[in-house]
Amino acid sequence: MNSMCNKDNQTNTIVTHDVKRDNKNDYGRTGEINSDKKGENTTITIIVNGEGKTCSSPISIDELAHSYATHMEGTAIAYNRSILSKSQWPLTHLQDGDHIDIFTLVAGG
Amino acid sequence: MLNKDDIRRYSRQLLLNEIDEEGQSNLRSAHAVVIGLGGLGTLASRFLVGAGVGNITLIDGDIVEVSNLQRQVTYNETHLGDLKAKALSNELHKVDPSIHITSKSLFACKRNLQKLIGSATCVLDCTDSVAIRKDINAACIAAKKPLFIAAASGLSWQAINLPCHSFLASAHQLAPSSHCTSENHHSSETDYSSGTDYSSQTDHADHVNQQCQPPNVSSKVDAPCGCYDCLVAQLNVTQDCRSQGVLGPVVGIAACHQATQALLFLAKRHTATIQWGRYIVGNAIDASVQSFHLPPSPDCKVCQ
Repeated sequence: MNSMCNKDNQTNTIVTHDVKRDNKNDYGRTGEINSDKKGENTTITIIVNGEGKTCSSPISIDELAHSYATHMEGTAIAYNRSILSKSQWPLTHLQDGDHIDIFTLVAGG
Repeated sequence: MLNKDDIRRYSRQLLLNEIDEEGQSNLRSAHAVVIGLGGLGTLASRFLVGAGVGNITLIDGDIVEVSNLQRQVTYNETHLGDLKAKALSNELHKVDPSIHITSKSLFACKRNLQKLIGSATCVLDCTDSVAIRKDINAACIAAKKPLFIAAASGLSWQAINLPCHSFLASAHQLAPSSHCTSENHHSSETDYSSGTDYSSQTDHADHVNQQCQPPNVSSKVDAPCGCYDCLVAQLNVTQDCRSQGVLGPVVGIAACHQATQALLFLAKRHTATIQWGRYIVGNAIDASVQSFHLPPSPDCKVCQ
């Protein structure tokens, strides 16, 4: 796992490099980035496979997937409990409070 | 109308509101097509026969090998080297001789799937590779056949129920009950070659096809759901039992879930609360089961 999203072992949250603001001040309930903050490197808190993590924003699901999945080929991702097709990964950017589930598809029988 | 023997045989499930007498009659008139007779198919089909699904087609071109016995519970050492479809048919016939079991010792593929599932009330995908699973998915969408998928590898199992557009046929126009008759039937066909054209052959499935109405799935579909292709498009799924191994009971869990879903649907086709389009992800290590909605992929070439 690279440093794009890292977990602090003590607090179970991630403090990325370059955290300058309090999340609660930067994001509304929907997690949308305030218009005056667009383009800046800020921090969001997301839930990945049940664990809270903080990440630098903006970050796409594709970028997140590459930071997590060591075996990408059969990796599927659910974004807020809904499976996202791989073509949408680069187009979907995470927002504060998003739930991400990463799992490996199986096909045996 | 159930007779005394039926009531005795099915007494445990008749007590369930989800089955009851009406559901039991529906099961008797249903036709389930089970594709793949390995760890999933052997167990799922055993439960379908036990529950009284009146017509079952078993499809697999493989033979029983010793490495199968660890998880493919209906086979034993006396079946080694036998065609799976034939061996399983024989064993299931012992469970209930009144069930119409058609065994087809061939490998399902693009060319023969439409024929194989033509008379199905539903299809159970019990195969073990993405390639054939995609073909089954496409065939079920083309024929508007509800599809129950399960899979397992390592210590994980996954499953999904797909309406395959059948709910579009009529959410409100309920089809009349089908009138399939029950009679002893126990047939088999053998073909080792993949892609055999069965268009010139007649069998019991055709007989059923003439008598059963196509299913109209009116069970709740809360949101539009995608298909198997939406799930695996652009992904290279390599996790199968051959490469990753599998623990017998794990594939058994998947098969039990799959059979349960199929039975609930077949018993109360028009009213059952089926979770369509929910992808179930189970893990035997932490005993977790999660489900995720599978929406249609906007660029899916199969269902969009």
